[in-house]
Amino acid sequence: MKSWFKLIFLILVLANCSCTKWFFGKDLASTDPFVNFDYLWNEVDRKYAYFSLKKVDWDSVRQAYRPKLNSGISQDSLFYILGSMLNELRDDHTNLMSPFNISRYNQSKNEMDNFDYKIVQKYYIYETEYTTGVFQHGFVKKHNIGYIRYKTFLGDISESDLDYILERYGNTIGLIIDLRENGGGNFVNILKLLSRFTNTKSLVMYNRTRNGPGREDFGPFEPFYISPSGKARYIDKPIIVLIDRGSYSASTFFALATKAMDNIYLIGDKTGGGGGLPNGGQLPNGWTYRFSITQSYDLKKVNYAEEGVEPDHYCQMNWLHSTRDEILELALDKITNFAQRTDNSYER
Amino acid sequence: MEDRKIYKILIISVVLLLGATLSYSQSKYIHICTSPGISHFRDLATSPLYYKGNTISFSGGYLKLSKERLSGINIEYTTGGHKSNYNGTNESSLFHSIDLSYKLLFPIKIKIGEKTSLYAGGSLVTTTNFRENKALHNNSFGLENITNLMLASLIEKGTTSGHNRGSKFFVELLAGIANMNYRPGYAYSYMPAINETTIRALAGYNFSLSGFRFKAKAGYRKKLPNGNMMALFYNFDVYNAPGKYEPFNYSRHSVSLSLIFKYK
Repeated sequence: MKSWFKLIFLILVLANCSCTKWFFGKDLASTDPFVNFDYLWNEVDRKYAYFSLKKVDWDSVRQAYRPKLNSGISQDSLFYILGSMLNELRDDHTNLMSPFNISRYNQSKNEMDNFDYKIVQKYYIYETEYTTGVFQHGFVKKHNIGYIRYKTFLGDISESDLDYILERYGNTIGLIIDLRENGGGNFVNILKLLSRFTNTKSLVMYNRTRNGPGREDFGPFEPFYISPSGKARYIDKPIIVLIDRGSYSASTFFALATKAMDNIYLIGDKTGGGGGLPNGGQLPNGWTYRFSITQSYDLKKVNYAEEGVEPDHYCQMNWLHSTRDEILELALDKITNFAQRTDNSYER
Repeated sequence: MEDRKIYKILIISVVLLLGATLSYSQSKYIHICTSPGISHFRDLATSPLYYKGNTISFSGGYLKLSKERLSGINIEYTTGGHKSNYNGTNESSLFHSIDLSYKLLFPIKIKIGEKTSLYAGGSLVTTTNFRENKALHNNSFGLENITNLMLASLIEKGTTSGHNRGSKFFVELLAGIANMNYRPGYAYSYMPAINETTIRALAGYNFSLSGFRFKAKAGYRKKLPNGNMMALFYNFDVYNAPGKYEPFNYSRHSVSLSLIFKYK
């Protein structure tokens, strides 16, 4: 009997020593450049959301880049080839990350700069600006208008901070929210902020998520609502959101959502895009990546946000004037103009 | 339709197992246990690499022993950090797991040796894992549930020496016969999951009736003069949860020290 028990112990120990291979097959970790190229290409092929909108021929991309590999290629060269392949998607939500570099498409580097916060601080904010949580804000000189600078959607917006700010500017004739060069962050902050500017639950956009291997396989249109919340609200007065090509990701979602809200207007340049939610994953060689897996649509189910949301009024900075912010000036004019009207109408 | 089948299997299993424990003359015990161990997991939806780490479990529950049957409920919490260090990359994943199990075993009257007893029956095990790996960006949060209806067998061999009377060596083996898992959908992350200031973390999740699970225990249980018991044993748990799209693999080896108190 003792030998019988010993045998069971032995079987268990032997099975367990090599259990991962025995139960799950071989370890897929690999530094082989072809294995990593194929893994990344396939992941993008099976899950990326914007092949047709951007007219990217992903099969041709494979044919162009795979021949550049060889079995002895350096890590640096492999990273360059994989990163360049991803940049063919023209998507700043698409990155490759290794211990020594991060690949970026960097859409805004070729666009005109439309923001200098020093000009706003020095020539527009009355006395000293306030910093409340993630916001910098103040009254605009010679105007009864509030200015709120929101530079990133990263971090959490505190409800008490929003209450404080909206109560402070409760008696103004209009509010300016500056999202220029706001590269995005936490999507939940979009809902927190916009929920203060409506009294009714509003449908503001739709989203679809890749749900199959075909490049046009998507799930149903999912409605995205903004619901009123919080103690302090800013209603029935104009809110102007300043945007530029540096307004990316959550800023683009925010801009898209405002298109469905009657009291919010966009001024500046088109947003930088980033209308897809990026995922995250790891290659067999340990490097990590992300790319967009969802599409966002306006209320007419038109899909344009990935390439940027148009402003209601285009405007750009004139850098010959180092003391003037033309985009902010136009926002002040529009709010003043609105306040002087008696019929509460505002032309987009 | 498949989800309905899965719910039916679960409900019928629970009813059958609990129904079979109706009052019998039996000894009742509560037990507490701690189990340091080593575990590996791989979520092929987000990474082809294994994450390995040291984990520790704390568990408790009760046991009912009678001549007719052996039954028990156990709840176990496991936690630990897991790492993947490969090709100069160092990524880590926090891992928490809650495991609930119920087992019911009946003696098999086959003579296989002196002071040796054989039991067979079933067990229902449900495990929920929570993982966080910040390197995976919007896929950093991983959650899955694995529920298994398992065939269970137990072999016990009593010791003969006087001062150890009632103490036993034991080997327990469990093999999944109905393996269910609840795993993320095709895209893993879903934009619709973010809505109305809340995150619907389980958007896109699917039930699947697939995979396997195997559990084993082997060790020694010593009976103390006051009727309480103490056990030292080796544990092994391995499962594959394929989901509808990409599988989750897990294995754990641990050594357990258990204190078993008789209260009736």
